[in-house]
Amino acid sequence: MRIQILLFAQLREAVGYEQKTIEASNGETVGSVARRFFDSNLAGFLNLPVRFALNEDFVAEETLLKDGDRLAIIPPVAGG
Amino acid sequence: MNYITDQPVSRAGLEMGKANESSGAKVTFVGYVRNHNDGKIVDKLYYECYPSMAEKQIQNIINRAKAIWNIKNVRVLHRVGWLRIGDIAVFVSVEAEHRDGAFLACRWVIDTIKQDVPIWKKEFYSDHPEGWVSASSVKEVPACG
Repeated sequence: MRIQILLFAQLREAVGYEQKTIEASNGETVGSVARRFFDSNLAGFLNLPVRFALNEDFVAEETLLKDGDRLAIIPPVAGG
Repeated sequence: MNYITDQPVSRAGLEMGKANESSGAKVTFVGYVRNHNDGKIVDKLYYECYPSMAEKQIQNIINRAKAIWNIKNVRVLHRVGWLRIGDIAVFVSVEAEHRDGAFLACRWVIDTIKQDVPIWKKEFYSDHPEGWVSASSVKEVPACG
């Protein structure tokens, strides 16, 4: 299945793009896909306390992905 | 409703009027761009945003505030893009039947925006390299007596 990963702020700057579509296996979770992405592309940010959003709602790492999901990796926010 | 804008925010336009005749109190919070942070001199800043999620999360925050306190109306506007010192970054106003609910809800809404809305701030300094800022965590929902 195909998952669209969205990146922001320091993570976007580090990889040099805002989004990327990746292949994932059926049954994979948010956490497993995110860990693989960090290991390959964002190894310098493994200690950054990120959160995840699927289709614009915060989700837990254990959430199962489905084909076509938009997975946003949310670094620490600072609005206001 | 659009809660995110890339245009300058005018306080005068936002504070006019009172939408609900049963409201007895209105509390407003205005956040400005400060000229210093964490011992560094701030020249300007850039707010990055995930717009569709930010709109959705702010609507969720407003809905939760309305469910917790007996409030009549909530207004939120957050600016993104490039801001200068003294610019308005965020505006929150809450109308309620009584002042207790208005004060508590306004405080909770701005605190929760800072914690849960996907907006990121990059500060540019006179005396240090620029950097992304992390916000402090939100407090528990206070009780309304």
